[in-house]
This record gives sequence, structure tokens and C-alpha cells, in this order.
Amino acid sequence: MALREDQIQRYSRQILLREVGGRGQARLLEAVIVVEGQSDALDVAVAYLAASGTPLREARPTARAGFLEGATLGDFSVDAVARPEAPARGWLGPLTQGPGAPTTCFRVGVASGLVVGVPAHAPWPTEAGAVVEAEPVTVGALAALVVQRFVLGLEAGLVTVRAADGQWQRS
Amino acid sequence: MPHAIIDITGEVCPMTWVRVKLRLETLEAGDTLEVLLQGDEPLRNLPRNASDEGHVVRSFERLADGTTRLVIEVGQG
Repeated sequence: MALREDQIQRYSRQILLREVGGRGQARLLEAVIVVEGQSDALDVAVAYLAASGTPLREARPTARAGFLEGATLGDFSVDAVARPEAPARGWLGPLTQGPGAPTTCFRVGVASGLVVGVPAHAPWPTEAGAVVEAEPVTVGALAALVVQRFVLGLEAGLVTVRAADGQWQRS
Repeated sequence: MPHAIIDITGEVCPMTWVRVKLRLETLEAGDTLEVLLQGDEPLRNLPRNASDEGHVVRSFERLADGTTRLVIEVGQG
């Protein structure tokens, strides 16, 4: 997929990033992310993902409908997406069907206080997951980042966790 | 002869590197891209950015009209 001039202009600061570039931005634009649930952190994650150009779909229509810039609410099943066992109030994950949908299956939990839990049975290394204790904005931004890294074909290796002494450490 | 040429004399940072980066992505490892640029800022930034992403700056030459010609070899990615 070749980026249009307006897309180059709009997403230039992401294209600048080594891990994104033109090809990565094309993948972000082609991916389709499922949004399910309600939480402040999930709203933040949705905002970041929408701003990065990734189309979003609600698993079920909610009040967030008007919040998904440029997205068309679809009616589809999320049953094909692996369901995590860890509790959370919101989930993000790509569609596994439809044109341009990535074949990788993942879901990222988003909830204030207990977030970004990747289930052990997920088809990616379990060490990619992390539990983060932080305010909704941090949690939502981090969840969006994790999803974007999966879309880009990267592991969530830069996820950090808050250690017992309050210091942020790389997981 | 370079495999491709891009003129970014009409661009300003950071779009200078965006244009070059997108063009480099269309080339194969070992190919060369000739970049025509204007001003000191891109001359400082482009070689560093290219090197940071694994490419090799093969040469640069200041031209009589005040522009600079930079030749970048595409890295292994």
C-alpha cells in the first residue's frame, strides 16, 4: 500500500520513527482494531489508536461511537478472537477477518489500575505481557502502544512495569 | 549512477527525512539514492538519520548553486 500525500503529511511524525516508517504506517492504516468494553483507560487507548490512523470497530455499539474518528461501526463477531482469562474492563484486538485484516490474533486488556494483561494462551510470548498500575491516561497510552507494536509485527518488549520500590523498569 | 534521485530542496525538516526515508524504503539493500538538498539543517540531520537506520552515506558534494548532493547506500534493513 502506497501512502497518499495527505497521509504522508498527517502521519509524518510516526513515519519518522525507526520502528514505523512508511511500511509500518501502511500497516497501521490497514489494520482493523476491535474495541470492546468501557473504561477511561480504553477511551484513551482508542484516542491514540484513532490518531495513529488505525481503523476501529466497536464489538457492540456504545456511546463511544461518535468518538471513533473516521470509523464505521461494523457488526461482526469477536468470537474468533482469543478470549483472555484475566479480568479487565476493556479489550483491544484486531479483526481476524475481512480485507486487510492482519492474521495475527491478539487482545490487550485495558482497565484503570490493572491493565495490559496478555493471556498465557495467547499466540505470542507470554513475557510480552505486563501488569501496570497507573492512572488511566498512562494505561491507555501504553495499551495503544502495545497494540501498535503487535500490528507492526514487533513484540511488546518495551512495556514497563512499576517495581515495588516505585521505579519504572523494562520488563 | 545512483539507482534513484530525490530532490528535497523545497522541503524543510522534518519532512526532508520523511521524504528520503520513504524513498529509501522503495530501494533494495546496496542500492544508492542521490539526494539533492538545500541548507545546513538537512545536511546535519540527514546523514545522522540515515546512519541511525543502518544506511551508509557514501558521499556529499556542495554544488555551485548552493545545494548539496548526498549519496546514501541502502543498508541491510
